[in-house]
Amino acid sequence: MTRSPKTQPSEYDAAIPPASHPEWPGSAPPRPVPARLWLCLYLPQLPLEAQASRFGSREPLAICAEEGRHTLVVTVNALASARGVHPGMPVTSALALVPELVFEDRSPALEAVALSRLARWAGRFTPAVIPGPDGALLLEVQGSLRLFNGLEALRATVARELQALGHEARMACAPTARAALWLARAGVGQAVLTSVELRQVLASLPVSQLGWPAHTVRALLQMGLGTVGDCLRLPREGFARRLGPARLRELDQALGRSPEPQRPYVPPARFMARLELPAESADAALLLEGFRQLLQDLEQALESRQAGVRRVWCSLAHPDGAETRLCLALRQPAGPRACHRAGHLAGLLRLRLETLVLPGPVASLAVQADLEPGQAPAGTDLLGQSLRPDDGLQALLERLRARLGGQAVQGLALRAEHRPEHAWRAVADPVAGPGAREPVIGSRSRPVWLLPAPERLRLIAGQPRWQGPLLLEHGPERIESGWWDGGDVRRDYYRASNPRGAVLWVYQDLRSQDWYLHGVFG
Amino acid sequence: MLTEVLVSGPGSGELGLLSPALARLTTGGTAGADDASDAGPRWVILIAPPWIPYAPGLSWQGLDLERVLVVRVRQSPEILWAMDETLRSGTCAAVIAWTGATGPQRAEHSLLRRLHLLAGKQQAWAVLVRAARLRRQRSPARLRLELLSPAPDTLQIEIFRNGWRGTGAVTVERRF
Repeated sequence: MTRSPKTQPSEYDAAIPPASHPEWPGSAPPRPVPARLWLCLYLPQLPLEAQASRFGSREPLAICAEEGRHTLVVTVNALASARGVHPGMPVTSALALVPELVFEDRSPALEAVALSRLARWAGRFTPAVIPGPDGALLLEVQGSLRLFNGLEALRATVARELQALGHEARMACAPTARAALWLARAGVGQAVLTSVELRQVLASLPVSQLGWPAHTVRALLQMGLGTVGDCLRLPREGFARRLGPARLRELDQALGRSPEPQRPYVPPARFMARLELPAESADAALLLEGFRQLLQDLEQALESRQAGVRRVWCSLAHPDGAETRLCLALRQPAGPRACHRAGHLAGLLRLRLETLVLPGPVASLAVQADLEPGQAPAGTDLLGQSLRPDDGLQALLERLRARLGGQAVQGLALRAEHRPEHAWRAVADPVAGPGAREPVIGSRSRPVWLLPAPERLRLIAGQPRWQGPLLLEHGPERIESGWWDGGDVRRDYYRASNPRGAVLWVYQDLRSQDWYLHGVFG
Repeated sequence: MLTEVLVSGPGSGELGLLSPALARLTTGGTAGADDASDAGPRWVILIAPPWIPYAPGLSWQGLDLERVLVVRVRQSPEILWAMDETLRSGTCAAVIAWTGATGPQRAEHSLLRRLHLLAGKQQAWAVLVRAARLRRQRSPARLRLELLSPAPDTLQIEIFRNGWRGTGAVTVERRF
């Protein structure tokens, strides 16, 4: 215990509700489980990482922003840092150190995009994800600990995936979001789980690490208040009067004394992601690689929302403002973790890109999709077998249609119709099944091939010919039907053969007496 | 395995010849009569058929139409591509492709070889219907059949194994 209310009475303590008081009577109480546990991911390099795709990593790089009359360095990459450039330095001094330093203005828009991308990703750990100020992400993980095998395992997973996404983060854990943010910013990695620990750890935190404005920090230091603990010892009213009620509220929030209003991140129902290419290009492999990244983001969005997509629009923006658009259509909504992973979508896209003729080089790529809620993962049974055996076929159909056209693959079904050309139909979605089976009319011999349209036969000496004179072998079978829809027919069908051994299905139109070839046997 | 059927023109009886085997495959059996393993019904895919595969006729031959897919292509290179994709997916019991008169040329021998290996790996039956004038071309197919129809009700089948030298001929009766 660093302090005792008896020796250092202060008005600040008056507001402590008894239940959260660290010195709750009773010897060795069980370690209280906090109602909430916040994991903060603080991303000090976000201004740089958000623009990383624009630069190579071969040159020293600094992101800068105007502050008052000066332009200050905000973040630097490793090369620049190794040569002495550090954040907060005026740009002129940095240039004096490293003359070939590359500068870029800070882009709040790109940082927001990167942060919401991370928020989407973080949705897979907990539904409560809050984008904090200054490139921080707050995750409420108390409810997720069991799923991810405890806090340490969860932190390890988060750290590994963050690194794979190309982000450097400082992590901290605390029972309140504000405290987690402060601790992460200050680089206190130790997990704080109880309010007792929280009070101790916060007390030693320097006021310069809280993200408070420079003039506030200066005023505190002038008063001799170097740490949060010093501030807590002040009378509440005096503190609020001198430094503003907002700061007092922040202290209360950090200690869990007043509620923290938070608006959790809700992923939009429409997924949109954009990628600026490092250089204009028309190289299909490069474009595909870019799209692959975007589709992986889409996959994460699907996973965190348990949503599916039916159509994915991919657009390629040309430098002159024109756009080439592609639409990937899926026969059934692609859910998370089904056979429809980013890999499958990328495979479909590759087929389309192969045949696409681009009018010119491409400057940026974008992917858009409307998310359909409620697509539970397809799942597997206990033996790891997919529960939907036709997933593989569905994927095949999509690949075939992507290259050959939407109508290229069809199933077949019978129709209860006497007219031969109407006795069948194409099934657009064969995997779903053709629907109710219709009773088959007659069980007569039928050819396996039907001509798209009957072919009129030449007659020589009154005998129909098709690659030679036809010999009628079986028939006639009279078909008279269709008077009700204007397409009525009166025909006599025969099985016939020609000298080459072909067996044909021919008919004589009873009204015109003309002969037609309608099908081929075997 | 890859089987090649050589015909003088489409509709020379190839689909009728294959139908009994396809009927078994679509209804859950295997192509071979003595094969005991039962894999459940799988799909039969017809690629680039010369005319409309006529549902009542196929049904008459015993095929379960709910397991039959028809793939139409616009250009001949797409035929072998579609065959490759179909075999690779591992969802099909049989894939039959009509390569037409222009058929795969000599340069595509390696492609055919790949199809043969794929079919073996996926335990699928790949059938290539090609023009009879290609009979002297090298082929990776284990079994090559040339169909001749000397009379309307009989089908004479010349069997080539491992090459183009005929090793036998059978005559079967056609049923309609």
